[in-house]
Amino acid sequence: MKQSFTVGIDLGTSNSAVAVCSSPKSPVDCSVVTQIVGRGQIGTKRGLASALFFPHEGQFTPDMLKLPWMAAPAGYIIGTFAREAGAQDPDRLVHSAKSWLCNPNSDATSATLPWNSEIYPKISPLEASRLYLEHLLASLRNENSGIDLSECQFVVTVPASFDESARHLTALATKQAGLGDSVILLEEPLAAFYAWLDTVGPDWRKQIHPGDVVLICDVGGGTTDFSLLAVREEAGELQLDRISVGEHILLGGDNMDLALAYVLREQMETEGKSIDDWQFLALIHAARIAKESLYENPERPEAPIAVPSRGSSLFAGTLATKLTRETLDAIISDGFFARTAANEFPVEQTSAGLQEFGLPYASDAVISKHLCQFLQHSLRNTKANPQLASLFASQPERFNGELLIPNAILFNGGVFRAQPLRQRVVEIIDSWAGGHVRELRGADYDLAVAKGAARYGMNKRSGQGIRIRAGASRSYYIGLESSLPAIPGYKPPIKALCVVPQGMEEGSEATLDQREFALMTGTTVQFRFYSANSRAGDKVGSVVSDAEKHLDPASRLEMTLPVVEGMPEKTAVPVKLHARLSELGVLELWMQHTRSERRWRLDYSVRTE
Amino acid sequence: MIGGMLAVLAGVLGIAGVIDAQLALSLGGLGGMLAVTAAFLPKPACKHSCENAKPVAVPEAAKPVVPVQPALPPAPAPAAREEEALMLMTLLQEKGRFVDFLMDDIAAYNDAQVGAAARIIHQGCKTVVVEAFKPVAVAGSAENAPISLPQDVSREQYKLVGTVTAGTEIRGRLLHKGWKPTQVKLPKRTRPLGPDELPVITPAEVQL
Repeated sequence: MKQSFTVGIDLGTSNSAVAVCSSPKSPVDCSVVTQIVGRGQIGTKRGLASALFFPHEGQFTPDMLKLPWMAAPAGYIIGTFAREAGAQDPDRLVHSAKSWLCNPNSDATSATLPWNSEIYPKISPLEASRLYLEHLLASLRNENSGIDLSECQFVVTVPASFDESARHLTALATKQAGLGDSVILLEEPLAAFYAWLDTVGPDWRKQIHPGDVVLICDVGGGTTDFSLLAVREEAGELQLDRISVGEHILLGGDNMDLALAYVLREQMETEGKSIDDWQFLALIHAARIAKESLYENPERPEAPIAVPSRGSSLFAGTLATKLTRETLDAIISDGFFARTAANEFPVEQTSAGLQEFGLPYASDAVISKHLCQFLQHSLRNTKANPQLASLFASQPERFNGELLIPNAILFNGGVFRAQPLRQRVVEIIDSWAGGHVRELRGADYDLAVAKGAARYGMNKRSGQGIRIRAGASRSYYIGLESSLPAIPGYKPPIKALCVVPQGMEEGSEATLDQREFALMTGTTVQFRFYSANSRAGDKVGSVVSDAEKHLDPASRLEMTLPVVEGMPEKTAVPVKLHARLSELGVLELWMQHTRSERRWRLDYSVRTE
Repeated sequence: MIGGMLAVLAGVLGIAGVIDAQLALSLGGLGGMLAVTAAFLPKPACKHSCENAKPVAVPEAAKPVVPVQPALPPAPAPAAREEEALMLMTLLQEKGRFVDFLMDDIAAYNDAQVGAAARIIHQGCKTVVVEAFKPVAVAGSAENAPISLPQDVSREQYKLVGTVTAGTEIRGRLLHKGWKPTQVKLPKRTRPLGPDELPVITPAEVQL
C-alpha cells in the first residue's frame, strides 16, 4: 500500500515534535528525536527545541557536535543543547524563527537571524524552519529504520493565526526539506482537537453536544492561539465547523517563568543575595519547577528555590529562597490570568518616538484580556456572515452582549498542566457570561498537536473519523491604488477587493468577476495583498475603501506574464483574478485569461518595501 | 508591579525557557547496575554501549512482578563499561552537581547550607535517574504489610531475609519495596573513546 504511514509535525515557536500513525486502528506514537544533548553527548528527547546555536570558533571540537546522519559536523547545533548554550550566549542563538514567518515588516527569506547580533553567518527564518524540519526527518529515519519517508503522508501544523503568506512560507520550508508537494497544513488548535477526539474515543459525543461552541485555548511556550468550533447535527451525525481564529499573540509560558524569575531575583536582592547572569538562568529553571510543584500541590504554602554557584563549592555558594503561593498567585494567576471584566481589552502600548524593530511581542501580558478581545471579534464576525449566523439560528440569545461565549473549552500547551490555571480560565469566562463553561477532559497538553496532526492525516487518507470543516481562516484582498489626482502631503487611501472570503472551503474556487485586469505580456506586475480575520461578512468582490486602516498587510503578490504564443509582444491581455483553495489547504491565485482557458499563477513576492 | 516588569520581558525573551533543557537528561549504566538491568529487558541491552542510548521497548511497571528469566547477555567490554559509567557521572554532575557535593567538605557547613545544596542535588539527580532508568518499585504492595510470593519468585528481584519454609507460597512482610529500571537510556558520546582514553567527568571552565 502506498503511503502507509502518516507523520504529524508540530513545528513550534519554541518546541517541535513529531508523531507517527501507522494505520487507522493503531495508536499515534510520538517519535523521540535524536539530538546533541550536551558537550559531546548525543541522546534522544521527546521533542526538539526550536533553537539553533552558532558556536564560537574553537568552542567545541567538531566531533563534539556530529550527528550520526551527518557526513561532516554542521557549523551549528539544533535542539536542547543549542538552547542551553544559547542561554549563556544569546547573540549566537536563533529562536522564535516561526514568529518571523508571519511578520509582514520583514523578509523571511533573508538572513536576519540571530536577530540584532553581529554574528555571521546568519540564516533566514525560512532556512531555520527548513533546518528544524530536516533535523526531525533525519532523526525519524535514524530512529525508525523501517520507515520509508517517501511513502509517508506528512501533516505539518501552523498557528491558526498564520496568514496565507506565512502558511506559504511554511509549505516552502517543507518542500525545501524534501517533503514534496503533498504536505497538508493543519491549524494547531484543530490538531489539538483531533488529538483530544482520538484520546477520548467514542465518548467525545458525551462531552459535546449540538449547539455547543467549543473554545480551543492554546498557550504554548512563546505564543497564545485561540480558535472556536461550532457543533451542530446534520443527518443524525455531529458536525464541527471552525468558525473563528485569533491573532498571533507573542505571549506564552516562557514569559510566565521569566516574570517569576524577575520577582525572585528582586526578592533575593532584598535578602542580600545577589546573583549573576549564569545564576539567573538557573533561577528561571528553578522558578518553573517551583511553580509547577505549587500548582500540583495546592496544600503547600511555598516551594523552596535553590540556585547553585558556578564554582565547585556547592555548600558555600548555593543561594536559597522561597517561592510563596502569594507571589505565584500575584504574578501568574492574578497577573497573566487576571479576573478581568467582559469589557477589558489588551492595552496597546503606543510608545513615543522610535521603537526598536523586532518581533511584535504582546505589550499587554494579561491573557484574559486577549481572550476577551478574541470572543468579541468572534461575535462580530459571526453576526456579519449569514452562513455563520445561520449556525445559531435556533439560539438567538448567543448574539446578546458583546462576546461569543463558548460552552466548552479544550486546553492545550504545557502551561495548562496546572489545574488551577485551567480552573481560572473557566471561572473568568463564567464571570463574563454568568453561565457555566465545561472543561473537556482528557487533553494531552504537550504533544497533542503533533499527535493530532498524524491522526488527521490518517483520517483523511482512510476517509474514516470525524473532520472539522475549516476553510479559509481569514479573508484575503488585493489592493488597488486609487486613481485620484496627486495632492501634496496627502496619500490617497488604497482600495482593496476581497478575493477570498473567510470560510471558503478547501477544494473550492472563486473568480472575481467584477473586475477585469489588463496585463502586458513580458512585464512583471505586483499587487498589494491583505488579509483580515474579523471580516467574515465580506464576499468575493466586496470593496474595502481604506485597506491600510482596516486590513492586515500580507506579503505582495507578483507575476510575470510570459510572451504568449500567438500574440504579439507587449500586448494587453484581459484577465480575471481566480482563487483556489486546494484540498491541502494551500491558497492559489491565478490570472485567468478571459477569452481562453489559459491562466498564470501569482506568486508571493519575497521582496519587502 | 507586574506591569513594569513585563515591559522588560520582550527584550529578554531570548533566554526564556532556555534552561528547561538543562534538566532534561539521563543516567546511565554503571557496570554493576547494567548487569541487573539486563535481566529485565526484553532483549540484550548492552552488547555494546551505544545500544543503551536507543529507546528499548520496555515492559510497563504494572506488568507482573515475576519475570521470565532470560539468559544473561554478555557483559559489556571494559571500555564500554567505563564509557557508560563516566557518562552517568557526567550527567549527575552536570545536572545535579553530584561530584561537587561529594568532594566538598560537608563538615564545614551548617545544616541550612547543606539543605539548600541538597535541593539542587535532588532536583538534578532525580531528573537524571528518572530519564535514564524510569525506576519503579519491584514490589507493588505497601512496606511493612504482609506479602505472599510464589516459591520460585526471582531471587534477583526479591531478597528473602530469614528461612524459607516449604509450601506453594512464600509468606512474609515487605521490608523494602525495591527498585528496578524499566529502561536504560543514556546519551552516548559523539566520539567513541580511544582504547586507553579516560575522559573528564566535567571540564574546568574558564571565562575569557
